[in-house]
Amino acid sequence: MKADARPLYLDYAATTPLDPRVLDAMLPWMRQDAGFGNPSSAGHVYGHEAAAAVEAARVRVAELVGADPAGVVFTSGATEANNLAILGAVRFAMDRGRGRHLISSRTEHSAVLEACARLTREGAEVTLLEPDAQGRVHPEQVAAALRDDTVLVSLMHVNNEIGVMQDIPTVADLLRDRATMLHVDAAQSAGRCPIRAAEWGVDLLSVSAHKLYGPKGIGALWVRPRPRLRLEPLMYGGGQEKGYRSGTLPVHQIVGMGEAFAVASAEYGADIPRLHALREQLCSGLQAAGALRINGDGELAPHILSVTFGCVHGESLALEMNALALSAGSACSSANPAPSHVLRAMGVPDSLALATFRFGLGRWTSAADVDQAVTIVRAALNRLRPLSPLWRRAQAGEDLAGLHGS
Amino acid sequence: MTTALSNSPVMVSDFSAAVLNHYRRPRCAGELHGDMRMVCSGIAGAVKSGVLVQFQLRLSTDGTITEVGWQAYGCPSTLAAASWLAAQVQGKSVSDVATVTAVQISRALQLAPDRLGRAVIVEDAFRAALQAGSGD
Repeated sequence: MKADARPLYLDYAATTPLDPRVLDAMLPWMRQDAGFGNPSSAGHVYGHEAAAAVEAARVRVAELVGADPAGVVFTSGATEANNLAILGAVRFAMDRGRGRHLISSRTEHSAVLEACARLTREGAEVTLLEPDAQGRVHPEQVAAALRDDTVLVSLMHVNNEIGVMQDIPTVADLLRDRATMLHVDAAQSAGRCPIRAAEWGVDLLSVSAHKLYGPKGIGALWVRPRPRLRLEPLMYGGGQEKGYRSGTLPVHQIVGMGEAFAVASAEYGADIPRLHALREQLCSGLQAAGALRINGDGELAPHILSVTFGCVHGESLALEMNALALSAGSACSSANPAPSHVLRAMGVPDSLALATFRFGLGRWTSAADVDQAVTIVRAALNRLRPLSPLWRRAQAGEDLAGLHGS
Repeated sequence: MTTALSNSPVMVSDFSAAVLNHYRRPRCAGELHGDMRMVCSGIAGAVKSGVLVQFQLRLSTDGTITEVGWQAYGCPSTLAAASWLAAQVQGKSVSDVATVTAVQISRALQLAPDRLGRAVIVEDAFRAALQAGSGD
């Protein structure tokens, strides 16, 4: 890699660049001569045009996730949406003596797990379901954990580290005749997997703009509008967003999110098969190296490939592959690395979690990029593996669990 | 507690020039072949704890280390430490190298202080090989 060359970006599951069409849509709403109005200003045209832009964006966001636009509540991102859903729903119920139990899983995003942890300090009881070795939570586990006082089930649609998809429609069916609400963190799946929030019977759904070529700092919580679902807000103020989320609406951000979601809807049919093909190309290119494991099976998101490499230390591999911008399974540049909670929950030994990398593919990833990535990874393995005392054992047929002592 | 994925990559700037030199061009790496009667070997560490090092020494009848081979599962600092030590002891007599320590390795490679433990494992593997040789 040349000193000035930037690494090849394969971290689309962390964030995505802004689509130029999104930027173009946003710019008028940041200019002095137009579009700066406060959507809450009902008395003049500045407010009216801003409010109309927000409502148009609401429709575009809702369309992508198969939901009624009236339920879209704009937030600062999926983290806030997750917090609003979980803290808001459970606090509202607890204040009224309508239950204090919630169910989630060990492989959720930190924004969900930390919100659950906060609620336990407020007197709630949380059941965290154990996923199987592929990271999947089975609907029967949800059924078994349900109690009369269960307020909320919160499950992610697609896991951000593995790409494994949870069976949300079946979980929603389980809850159909109960008061228990279903919250789905769809930050990774929106625009990449089909979502029919209303049809499935989801009550709350979190999405983010920056995971889908929109701007950072904006997301939404879809709140089932009929019958109206009540949440205790996180912020108090002017009562914007039906009181769920006070604060002047960031019109340019919202317009950007709407444009990003509209582009994702329009290009879904072409983009998703292309991503699936790239993922398959990457997967088979890497698998030829042997002594590695592709994480997750069954239904998987098209843009995430999680790979655990055997025989080599994760930090050495990361240094060797630094021409690729990836995410690693742990913060490994410290003496005592902390493996990711997701891989731990899946039973991956720490030394393998360290050598687990997430490849994230996206709108501007080409087949040539994938070929280049495969070449870089294979060169790294070819150099490091002969140095490892484990490589001979792997060549003799020992599996990763044996080599790395699960 | 939850831990997010790390996308702060391992950077070249995290390592000293000496570590990078040995990491990129490891000396004496690999397994020894041929007549194994005068080869002694030692191993230290565990995969679970993130470092496993193996040393092989070919000794002549007068106690000279005529050839060294090592293999290591570990971070770049571990690989560099094994490479540096191997290069240091090759061609020397067993009695001359008995005093080599992890602190020497660490100083020579300007290892980050939190990597001294890795150098200790490298030293342990080398000592275990010497020990195996002295038993014959």
